[in-house]
Amino acid sequence: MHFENDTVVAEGLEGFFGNYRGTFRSESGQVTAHLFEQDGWLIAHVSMPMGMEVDEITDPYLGELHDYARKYGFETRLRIVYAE
Amino acid sequence: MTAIRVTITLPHHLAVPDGEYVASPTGESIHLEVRVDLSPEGQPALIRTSVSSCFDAADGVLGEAAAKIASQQARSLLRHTNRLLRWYRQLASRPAVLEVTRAQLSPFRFMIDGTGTPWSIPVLEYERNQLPMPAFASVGELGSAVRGMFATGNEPDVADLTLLDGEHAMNVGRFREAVLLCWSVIDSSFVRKFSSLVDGSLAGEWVGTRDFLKGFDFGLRHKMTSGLRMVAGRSLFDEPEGFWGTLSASYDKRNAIIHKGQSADEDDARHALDVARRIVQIVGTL
Repeated sequence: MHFENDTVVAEGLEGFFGNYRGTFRSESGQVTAHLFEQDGWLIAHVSMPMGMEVDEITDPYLGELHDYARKYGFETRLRIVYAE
Repeated sequence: MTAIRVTITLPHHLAVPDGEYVASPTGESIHLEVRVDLSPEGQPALIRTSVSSCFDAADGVLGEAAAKIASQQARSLLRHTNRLLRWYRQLASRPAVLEVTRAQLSPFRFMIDGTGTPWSIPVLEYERNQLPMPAFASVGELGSAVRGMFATGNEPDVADLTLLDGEHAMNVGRFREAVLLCWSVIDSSFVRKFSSLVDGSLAGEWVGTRDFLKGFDFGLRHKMTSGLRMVAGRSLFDEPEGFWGTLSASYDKRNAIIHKGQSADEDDARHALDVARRIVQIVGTL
């Protein structure tokens, strides 16, 4: 799994987005997902490099996010939100 | 194959009959339907229009493959919706009806058509924020920068804002405007820098030469190549990865839009945006 703790995200955004759980970075860096827990839901804020669309992502990422959600009890409460 | 319906709800109501609206000569269509949201007391509170379209997906498609299809279909529905909004705005003379973004329309709901059963990607959701903001390490840093610049009483650079306008225009399907906005950025940022280089490096030269190099008779692409080589020892013709070809094709598209009333597509807008970003980056190094 490519999960890590990003202290900048944790310190800067926790108040806005809920409790920071960690950051997932995909194999070649196409996907960054900051994970927050809010109201019993695990919310993955997913962003890609500038100009890249969701349908252009070739790195695997959904399986790992779902595995993480399952492991920590959010199996049916994972919400994925993509940066526009 | 399974027929999947993707549905969004507009932030406003369009005063047109419910039903199918054909989107292209190839037969694609979108379906409009009035939607009434009730207040907590059960009274009709908000009347809006929902828009949907249908597509065929292979049975059993899951994960990234399904997300890819969902993203493509969401973008297609957004393009059709925004083109419809532009026609509605013009024909109904309603200036307040503006194009919408994917974040404004989120969530995009995907159901197996006619069943109410969610598809393998039941919702696709977008937000405007990217976390953290790419140009800043932290919210605190961004906050300090906003506070500092706001306190100056000045406005941001027009070229920077225009580049963001170009990106927004592309995202909401205004491809011609996106190309023109990007070329406005390219023109203004490059020419401003080129003019200062001419004045600096040819300070002792005849003023007529300097005025010619900076003026309209010495075209933009001449400025970018031989002109730039003369004053900065660099030509955009030599930039790697075929940049000059991309720039020239985008410049021709810009001229065709202005002089021949040609249309533009998403690729044209994306190329113009790429060229504009690269020019801004190059200008910063000159």
